[in-house]
Amino acid sequence: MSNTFNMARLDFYTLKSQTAMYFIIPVIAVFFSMTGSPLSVLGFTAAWLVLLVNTNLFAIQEKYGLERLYSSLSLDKKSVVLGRYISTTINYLFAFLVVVIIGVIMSFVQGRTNPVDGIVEGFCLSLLVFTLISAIQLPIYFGAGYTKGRILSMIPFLVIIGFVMLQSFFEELGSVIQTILTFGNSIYAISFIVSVVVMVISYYIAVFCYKRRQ
Amino acid sequence: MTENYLELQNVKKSFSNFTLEDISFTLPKGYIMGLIGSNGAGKTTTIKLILNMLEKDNGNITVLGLDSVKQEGQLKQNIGIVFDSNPYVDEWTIAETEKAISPFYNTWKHRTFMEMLERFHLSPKTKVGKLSRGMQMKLMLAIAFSHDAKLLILDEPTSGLDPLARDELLEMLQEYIKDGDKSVLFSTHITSDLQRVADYITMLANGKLIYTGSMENLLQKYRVIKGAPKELTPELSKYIIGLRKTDIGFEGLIDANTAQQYKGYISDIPTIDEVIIYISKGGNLA
Repeated sequence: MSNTFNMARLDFYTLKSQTAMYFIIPVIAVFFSMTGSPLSVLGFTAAWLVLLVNTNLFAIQEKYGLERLYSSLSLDKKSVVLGRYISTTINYLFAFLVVVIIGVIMSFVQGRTNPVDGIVEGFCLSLLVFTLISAIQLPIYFGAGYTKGRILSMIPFLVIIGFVMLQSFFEELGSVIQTILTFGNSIYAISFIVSVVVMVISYYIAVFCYKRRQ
Repeated sequence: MTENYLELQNVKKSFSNFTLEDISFTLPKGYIMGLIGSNGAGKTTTIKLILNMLEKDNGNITVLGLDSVKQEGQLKQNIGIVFDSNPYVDEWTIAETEKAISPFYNTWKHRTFMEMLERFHLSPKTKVGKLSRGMQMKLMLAIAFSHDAKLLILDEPTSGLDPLARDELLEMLQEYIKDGDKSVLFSTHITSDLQRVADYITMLANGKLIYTGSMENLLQKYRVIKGAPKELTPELSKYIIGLRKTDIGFEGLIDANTAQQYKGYISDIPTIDEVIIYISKGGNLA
């Protein structure tokens, strides 16, 4: 297990050249907070940015042939995959924490009431979006690599964008979502459980794809 | 620990355009084995299978007595690998490379790593991307030596190195196996390097195992036979591996015992290069 965490740590070293991406997160969080966006929107933004960073991780892996490095280390394929899932999730949690802290501070600065409103909602829903996209992206990249997999991995992004656009055309869809959200904590709990289950299933698929990769 | 540090038994791997067939060889403890063959012979595929970078279709691979698939993580504690180019991120400094890699090894010695850097004139602050090929190779060796690897696997480490750097590498390999407790598998197509350091040779051609055994046996077992065109009888040509005919004569590889029957001909001990060339021309070492 320790080598799985070492793999996650190795991912953060690999992302060294992407440090600038991390600075974009607070900048965007400040911008959205100033426009009065709720924490859920900040959470979605964080998830979106982290998904881009994670894509870059596979791009760097392919650019430098890091498969060779992984094959030379005291690691099996399962640990490589699990380590990547852990680093991906930590990246998201870190980004979410940053945007929440900024969101709350900005709320105080702007004198808004209930600055922590929507934290649970923002976390569970952005986690759901993040895991749904990651759960499709990660097995694709593990199975096909960055160059071959990048077109396919756009599909979950496009589906989410399409879903958001659909809401503009069909007002009923928006009201259905609003109705679902009125269930409050139970819907957040369900979305959290779905996120965890989806990631676990995705992990096993990714291990299978990675082992079969030529 | 086992006396054979590396064992491949009937290993097979098929791709759409290439098949590595029934590869079996063993590397005993304390020796250097050269894995040779022309480009596309299957050397890198064999190494990728040993490292479990590729899934084999058939056969068994044990490294230091451990199964290469089931005990992959455990066995790699004791393996050092040198690729033809560095497998690290260019933006890493050497010090960061150590920080990223050392946690994977239980026996990592920071002091040994620093000593190796000093010996190789590498600064910890230098970025990996700024290193020359020779320096990259030294960094990979420093990493392998710092976790006290028992088996060193080198995949074409000398390609692109100048003669001085190649000479240095060969010296280091000889020094590495000096205690008799370590082994080296050295894939290369620059066979002059091997003639200096290798005890065993495994030769591949078109995905097939052509020869595995001691280098001495390989070179003693065959002769390069040469003669004028009129001296090439139909009977002799049957014995010659990779026969090459020109207007001024012929030459090819022949079994050393058979060569004794042809005393009037020029018959020399081959170099490994010559063996590879004649085999690649269509012959097969029975």
